[in-house]
Amino acid sequence: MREWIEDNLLGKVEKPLRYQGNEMNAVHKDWDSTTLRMVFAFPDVYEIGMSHLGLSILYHQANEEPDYLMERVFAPWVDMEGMMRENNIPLFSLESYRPVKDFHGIAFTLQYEMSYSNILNMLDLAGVPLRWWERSDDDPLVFMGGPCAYNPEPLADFADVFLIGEGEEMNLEFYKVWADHLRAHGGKMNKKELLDEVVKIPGVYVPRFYDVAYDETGRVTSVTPNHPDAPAKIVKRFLKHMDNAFFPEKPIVPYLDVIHDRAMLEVQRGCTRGCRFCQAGMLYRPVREKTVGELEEQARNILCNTGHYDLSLTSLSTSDYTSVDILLRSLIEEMAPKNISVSLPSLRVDNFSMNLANEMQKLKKTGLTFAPEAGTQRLRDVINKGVLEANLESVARMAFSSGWSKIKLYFMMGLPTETDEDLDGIAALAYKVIQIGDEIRRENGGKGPSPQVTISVSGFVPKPFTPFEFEPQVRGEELRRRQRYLRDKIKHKRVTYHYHDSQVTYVEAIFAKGDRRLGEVLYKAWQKGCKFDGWGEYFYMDWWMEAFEECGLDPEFYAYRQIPYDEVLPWDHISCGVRKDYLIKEHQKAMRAETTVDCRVGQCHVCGACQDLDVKLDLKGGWLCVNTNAVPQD
Amino acid sequence: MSHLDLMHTWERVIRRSQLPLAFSQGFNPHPKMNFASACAVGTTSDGEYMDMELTQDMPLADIKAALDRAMPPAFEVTQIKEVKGKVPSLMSIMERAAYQIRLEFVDEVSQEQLDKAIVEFFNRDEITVYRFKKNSPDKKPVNIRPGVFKLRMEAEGKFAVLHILVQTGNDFNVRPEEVAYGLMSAGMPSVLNVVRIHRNGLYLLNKQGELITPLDVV
Repeated sequence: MREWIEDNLLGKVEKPLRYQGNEMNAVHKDWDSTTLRMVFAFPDVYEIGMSHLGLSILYHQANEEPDYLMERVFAPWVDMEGMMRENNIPLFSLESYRPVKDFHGIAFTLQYEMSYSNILNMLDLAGVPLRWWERSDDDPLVFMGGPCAYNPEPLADFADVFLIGEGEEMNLEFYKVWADHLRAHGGKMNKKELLDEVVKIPGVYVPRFYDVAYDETGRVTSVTPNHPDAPAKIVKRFLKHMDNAFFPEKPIVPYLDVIHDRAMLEVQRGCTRGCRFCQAGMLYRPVREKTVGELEEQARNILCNTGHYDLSLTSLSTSDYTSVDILLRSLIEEMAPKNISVSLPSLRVDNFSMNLANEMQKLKKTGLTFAPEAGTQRLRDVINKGVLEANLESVARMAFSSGWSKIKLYFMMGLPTETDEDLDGIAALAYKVIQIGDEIRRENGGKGPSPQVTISVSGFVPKPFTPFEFEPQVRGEELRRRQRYLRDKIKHKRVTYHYHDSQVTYVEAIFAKGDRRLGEVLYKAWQKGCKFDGWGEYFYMDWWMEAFEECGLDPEFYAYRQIPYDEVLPWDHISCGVRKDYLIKEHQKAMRAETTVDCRVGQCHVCGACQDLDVKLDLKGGWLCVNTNAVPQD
Repeated sequence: MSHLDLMHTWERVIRRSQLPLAFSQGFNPHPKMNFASACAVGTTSDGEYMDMELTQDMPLADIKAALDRAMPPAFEVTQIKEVKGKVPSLMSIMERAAYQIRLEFVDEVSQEQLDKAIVEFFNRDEITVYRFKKNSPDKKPVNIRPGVFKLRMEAEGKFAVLHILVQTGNDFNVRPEEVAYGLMSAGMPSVLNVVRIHRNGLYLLNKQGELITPLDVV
């Protein structure tokens, strides 16, 4: 099959390397000598999937075990899909070019709601029936995990199993039960029996073992187990410590320039800054750091095994890693003579982070990006984003003085309680930054490029497990008015304004907080041709709206409704550790524009993570608070 | 793979090999390595050349062994030679490229039909093909005839393998698929599909006009 595809298809597609495999460090295992064979399916193109650290971790972890085999598959781009369908080529894995249907299991990672249509399309391309009840014991088991699995309900029709929580902690346990089952059944699956066994593993969610009841208005009234071993609440799995957690030191090196074409080293997991819009900040609590020594060792090995010449220290907020300055300095000292650059993917708005930026960008001074998220102090307090205007001004001053000329600022539009005044604030901040830049340039005798500011604004999407889960999204027509309003406020030729499509964020909001009934909508939308919805050019709002209409469901019910605190949420039977009463408390504080201090510096706010789960904040360096301004005051 | 992807791949190979690669001086140091000729996306090859500069002398066998250990699947170093002193860039000295191209025709073709087209091709002074400009609908006519030196074809039913020797280098470059289009204008039956393009080698010419490889020069 490989040769035929190479000869007849790959020559005609846009980027043949997407389908070629055979990269350095890809794992090619002997099919027949493994018991459990799975394919990791990333529902987007190769370049996106190969930039995703989770894939790398879970792929290599599974393949370290001699008894398990895990290959990869990505969503073929539209050109390749067309040719595959025309020539009856089923979806195939990158390593062995085998049909995906031949594997025991297909593992989908859920990173983004707008990739759901690709999941259906990939199953269909694989020749695997889409809904679990249409699949036989000879079809692969379809399992899913990742951040969007915390509200798995819109995909309940399509998955056999969801794995809730951190994969490194639970997957091997799940594979073992599965492999034992396969051995006991001569390499075949009896899915009913298998599910009876895996449902006993903590963190496993089998949607068919739960009945959902609705009231006459369509609200969920209860989610009840209908299986003796199905727990009433599925609690996430988590690593107690990040030290000694599995981390791939021989990751795959793509031939193709992928989005993050660099070595990625995860320094910690979790973030307790407590931004109220941020789902990851709630899902991955508490913060668990790795030790500097372990990170240095891993950095060395990864660079040696990949040949990468960029090292990125990743996490939700790397400048919060307690020993970040020590780590960064020691890595730069070791790597700079080898012409390897070390960088942090995102920076906090404070002087401490600016010093780090100066440290790591001794050579190239391209652009700097900061995320104040909102335009006024009042709204930044509502969302608990601990950035003061004074921070931003002093950071801008430092950046321009140190030689940067381009600053990019990220904002969200449509945040709860937002008014036009907050939009004025966005424009004012941009002008302020430009003004600072111009002043500094004048002081330097007008040398160097003129300062430039880019404002990037995305529509706010309320996400489950955040204090804003109760909040409606701002209606599309109003969002578009606000976009125009802000655009008209910005008249400076060195301030660029980017806005993301509001229609996509509407569908994203619906699915983020959706219930099981959306499975039918998704199915119909896919039948109409929806795929690659996250890629503007393939997003067709009409198809989605038609699908809702045909299913007799109101999309506004999901996106535009203020949800009362006592309502049963479609994801209430899943727990990420953070308690609902904490989210309610935070929501109330948000409405009063009161901030909450990071529990790494202040007191514990009893969010539930360290109370209900057997885990504690794990900081290796103690908290080094260099700039107290950066921390919001209670 | 694209030329840029290829260069990145090689930089990583050399870094994995731990060889003491030399870097350019300046603000944005880049590794001192050069390639003979870019290969189009989708083209396979077993005749590529590159040079790289190391910061210290090493036995050639050690260099090859280090590269072999660091090589990804589907890449192979066949030979290494030392280049002494200052030499012109590889790209500027290349003169000829040999390819084999597998073609699929609309209908079955005979050896006679193909041979006739080749004779006709060489009988003409001008064989015009069109090159599209990047990001523009404009196309410009190019006479490839002076840049084509050898043609040979083997018919296999609806398929044929076309062997070509064409000009390459900084002054003029003939692309392999252009030769197939040119042959069609010289009476070759219609091609349905260019199945595969493979580069067999890159050459320069010695004083006698014979093909030699860059390795023959050093």
